[in-house]
Parts: sequence; structure tokens; C-alpha cells
Amino acid sequence: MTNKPEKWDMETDVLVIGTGAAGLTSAIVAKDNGAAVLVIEKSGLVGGTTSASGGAVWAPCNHHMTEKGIDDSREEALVYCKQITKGRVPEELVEKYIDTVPEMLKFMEDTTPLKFEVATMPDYHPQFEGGHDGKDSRTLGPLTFNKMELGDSMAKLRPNPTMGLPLTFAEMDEWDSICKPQNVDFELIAQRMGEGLCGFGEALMAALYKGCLDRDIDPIVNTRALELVVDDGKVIGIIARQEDKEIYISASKGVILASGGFEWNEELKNTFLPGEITHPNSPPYNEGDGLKMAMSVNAKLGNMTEHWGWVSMSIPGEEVDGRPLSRGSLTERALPHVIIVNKKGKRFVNEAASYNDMFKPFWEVNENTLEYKNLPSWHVFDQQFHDKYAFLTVMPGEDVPDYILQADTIKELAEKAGIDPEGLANEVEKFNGYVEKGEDPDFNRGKDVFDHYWGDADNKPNPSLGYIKKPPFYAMQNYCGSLGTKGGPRTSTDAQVLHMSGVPIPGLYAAGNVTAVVSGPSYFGAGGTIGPAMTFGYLAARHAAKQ
Amino acid sequence: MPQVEYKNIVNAPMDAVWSYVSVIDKWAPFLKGYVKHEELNDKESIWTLKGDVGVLCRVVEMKVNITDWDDDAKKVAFEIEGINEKATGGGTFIAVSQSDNETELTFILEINAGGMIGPVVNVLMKPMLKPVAAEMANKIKDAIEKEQA
Repeated sequence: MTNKPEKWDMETDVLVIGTGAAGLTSAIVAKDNGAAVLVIEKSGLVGGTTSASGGAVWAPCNHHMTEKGIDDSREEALVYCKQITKGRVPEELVEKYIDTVPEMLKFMEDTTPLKFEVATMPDYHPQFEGGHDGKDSRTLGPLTFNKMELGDSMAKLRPNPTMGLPLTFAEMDEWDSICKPQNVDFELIAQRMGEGLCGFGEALMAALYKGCLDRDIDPIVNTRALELVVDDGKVIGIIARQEDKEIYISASKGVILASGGFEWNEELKNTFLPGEITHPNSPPYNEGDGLKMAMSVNAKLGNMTEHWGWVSMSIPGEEVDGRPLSRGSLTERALPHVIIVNKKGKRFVNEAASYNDMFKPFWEVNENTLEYKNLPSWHVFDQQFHDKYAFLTVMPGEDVPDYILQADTIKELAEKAGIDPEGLANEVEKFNGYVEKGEDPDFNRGKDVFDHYWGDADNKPNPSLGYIKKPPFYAMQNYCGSLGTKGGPRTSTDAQVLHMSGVPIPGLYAAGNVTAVVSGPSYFGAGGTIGPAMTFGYLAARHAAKQ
Repeated sequence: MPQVEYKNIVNAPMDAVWSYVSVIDKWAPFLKGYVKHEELNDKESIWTLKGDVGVLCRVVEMKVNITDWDDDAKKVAFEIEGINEKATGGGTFIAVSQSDNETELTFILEINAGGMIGPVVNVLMKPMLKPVAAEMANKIKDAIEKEQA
């Protein structure tokens, strides 16, 4: 059976669906391997979820580490990754990633304007065997990029709503601005913005977009992939929608799904996820289009219950893409003088752990009531926090807006928020005792270098732990955010989508959040999303181009 | 401080233009992102706008204080002070007769974001001010000319 049309509206060798890091890397590599390439994008802007990210790439044994004299090895990286993936990811996939990411990066830096430098971020579990701390970081951060180089196409680049400043990770370190954004030279940043510079995920995508434009590849926007066209068991193209008409696009060598996750699709979330995602942090176009297409050809699925969870907050009235903006909590939860509590006023997590892993307790359910144990929950902090650090967009010393609850006593704050007052008062008293000792026996907050990285080095004795005792006290409610789901079709080591029988489906590839990702339930380190997305996009493109 | 000046010719007598511009309720909804405004007294009002700053859209509340209302010179000047955002600014409407049925209407608007990240916000706002001023001035022109037709 086939749904092959009598006539194609467009024809190409390799068709890429999606314009995040996985998609544009695929496009560039396929073209450089001799294939004709078309890229389609559902939204009106190029950049995908990557644009909304920090733009980091987690890459063991990369050439920047070598140039800086940082030791790493394949074996160390594999030992580390196996502890992260917990046996839920095929080992050959992890090995392929470790073996290919350095080569992919070298290729992309040699052939496109994309440039990276070593950051100082520790792996997300540096205490694991094979883990690295910030001194020998495996994370690379993108250099700033001048959007003016895109010419008229600059208007098609998706801006970064929350990490849009033209800065590098190295500068953030140099200025000690991770925990103290007030140290940023905002006059300099304004000057850079005026010149057209961008940073983080936007810089990564701008550089990849320029790499595409240099190869005469300009993604066709506002074009949504609907259905795979299959002939004799092989994927040979797709049906897409442009405004109100359906078009047929052939892809003689392969279709690469790089269309993101399904965190904006209520039905798919309800089907696969064990908890709620009410406030995704990604652009609202990730509706599982690629997943549904893969399912239509009986793809083998994996990792379907997982996502890149991110406890988030929302400033009333703030919107992006016509939807409320969800702001993920990074330093807000990891610095001293703040805790996260549930409605009983109890802490339930190491607030300073990696955003993906510290999210997991938010989905715990009470076995009797079936209610979430830790939702709703709140950040609770004191005036010392506000004196020293930024909270969301509120800089130290600035007036605290009404959407952040405040009160002169902990109990009064609890009443305002709907938290058990006695419970919160007791918890704060207990936590202050831990601060005194510099240890958190309940959740080990501040025990390893990862927590310290996101803490305040000037805070003694523990960079992560600070008293909550100076009024006024503040609270802000949390929501379940997500940078994307990370389950989908399982893929081969060449990023071919696997059939339920385990064999590759001819003509179909996938990379990025649309797939069952290589890190499985957890996260390797900063860039553990984009690194594999680009790497498997690279592998998919090379394989497809040779067909 | 981001500032924009926008002029257009309204095909109407100056008195008609002045009469229209003098009634804030008539043209307030023409301001991009306008949600509501509430007049506190003859000079002061609170405006709620839903506006873009870069890629973000935020709801801002501002207090507008009319500092100069000159019927003879056909000029209105006002100051702006952010309530929920750190911003200050001001603006001016000036109507100048060009002929019996032509009036030049000039709209000047300036706004300055404050706080630590003010310089960055100003860069984001700068390219947005001119289209905002142009759209508002053109809608006012159209409305006056429609009244005259």
C-alpha cells in the first residue's frame, strides 16, 4: 500500500523537518555530503527549542578541551554516562555519541561560523565515577554571533525570550555574574545588542542558520509536516500543510525528523507522561508531529515517560508567542537564603541539583489521596536573598512586585500563600540549623561541586546554604515547566528510526527531542540535550546522503 | 533615551484636529497594546498597556501626567512614570495649521527604562517606538478625517 502522489510539489534528496540544532546540523551535513536538501519549519521563525536554551554542548574529549590541556577519555565518559542512563539506553548508542561528538564539533566549527569555547560548568553529577567538575569541564558554550550577518533573514531568527543577552559563559564566569547578574556590564551589553550581537541558544542557531544560508538552504517556514509518504515500506517523502493547502514533498534519500518533543500536546502528554507539564519553557510548536509520524509507521518507542523537567515560575502578564512565558528557576533556587517547600511547608528536594533531576519529586503522588505530594510548591526566601541576588527579573534592592508574596513573618507569609504556617515555620527553623552546620542532612544540598557552582562562593561555610531569617520574607509559586519531552522513536547508531521489530525503517531518520534521547531518564551535563541532538543529526545526514 | 518624532498632515481644519486630540478617550485605544486607562483628575491618568519588549510581551501600568495644555499654541505635553516597571518618559502633541483644511500633527514620544537592565531594555524598545508612534498618528488622522467626511 502507498500514499504516493501522482505528482510531487517539491522534490529533494534529504528533507529535514524542524530548525533547531538537530535540524540545521542535519541540513548542513547532508548538503556537504552531496545531497540536495530542503528544510521545513512549522512556525514562522527559525531556531526551534534550541533558540530558547543556553546553547551549550556537552562533549567529552572535544578538541577545545585538548587545546586547553584538559584530560578526558572515552572510557571515563562511558563509565559516567552508564550511571546516568541507568541501563535504559542501548550501550552502542551511548558509545556512538561519545565517539562522534568530537568529530561532529570539529566539522561544524571548520565549515560554519559556529564557534565554541570551554565553559567552567561541572557535569550534572560530578561525584559519579568518570564525572568532571568545572575545572575540566566537558561543556562548551557558544561564542556570541552577529545577527547582521544573516542579512534580511535576521528577521526569521527566533529570539531567546529569557537568555537573550549577547554574553558568553566565560564572561559570566569572569564577571561572577551567574549568581550576581548585577555584575553584568549592562551598558556594554546594550552596545553589543545595538551592533546586532546575540548570545547563548540564539547565537548557536544564528551561526547554524548562517551556515545553511551559505549553502543556499533557507528553511521554508509556516510549513507543517503532517504525514509520511511510504512506498513499499520505504519513507519517500511527506505531506505537509502550508496555510490551507496540502503539499507533497519527495525525499529520495531520506526524511529527518528534527521537530522537537510533544510538551505542547495535551493528548500525548496525558498518554505518556506520569505527571503534569503545565508551563512548558519551549516555543509552543512542539506538539509531537514527528512522534505521530513515527508511530504511523510502527516505530519502536522509548523513554516516553521522560522530559527535560524544569521547575518554573510565571510573571503575570508576560507572554511570548501569544502564551504565558514560563521562566525556569536556576539560581533562584540554588543560591543561599532560599528553599522550596510544598503546601505542608516541607522541603522535599535538593534545591540546587540539576534542573532535570530536581524536578522528579514534583511528580510524586500520595498513594491515598492520589494528589501530588509536592504541588503546589513555592520558593521561599528572605530579605538577605533580595539584598544580594536577582529573583526572576527583580534585581537586588529593587522594589519587589506584587506577584511575589511578602510578609514580615514566616507564618504570615505561609498564610498568604496557602502553606501550613506551623509546618513552614518549623521547616525554616530546621533549615537554619543546617545552615549553621554547613550541611543539609535531609537532601545533601551544597555537598558537591555542582551545587557550589550555582551557589555563591562568597557565602560561608557553604555556598548553597544561607539562613532564612531576615524579614520581610517572600514566596513565589512554582509550576511544572519543561524544556521538552525526550521520548520518541528509538534510533540506530546512524539515527535511523527503528521499526518495532528492531530493524531500521528505510528512509526515516530522527534526532533531538523527537527521539528516545541518549541520556535516558537523566542528564549528562549542561549541553546534554543539544550535544546529542547535533551529533545524531550529523549521523543521520551522513547516512541519508549516502543512500 | 529612545525618542521618536512622527509628523503627518491631517486633512482637516486645525480646530477639528485640536478638538479631537483634546479628548483622550477618543484616541487612547489607538495606542498599540492599549488595554485601558483611568482618569484620576484633569491632569493625571493611569494607563494599562500590553506591549512588546523585544520578543517578550508584558503588561505595564503607567501614570500619565499632563504638564502643559496650551489651547493657544495647540500643544499638549505629558510626562510618563512607570508604576510596575522602572520607566520614565514624556510626549507632546502639537497641531499647526497648514491651510484651511490641512493641519500638521506632530507626535513626540520618549521613554527611558530605568533600573540595572535599563540600557538593555532601551535598546530593545528603540526600534519599536517609531512604528508605535506612526500607527497611532495615522489612526488619529484617519479618525479625524472620517469625522470630517
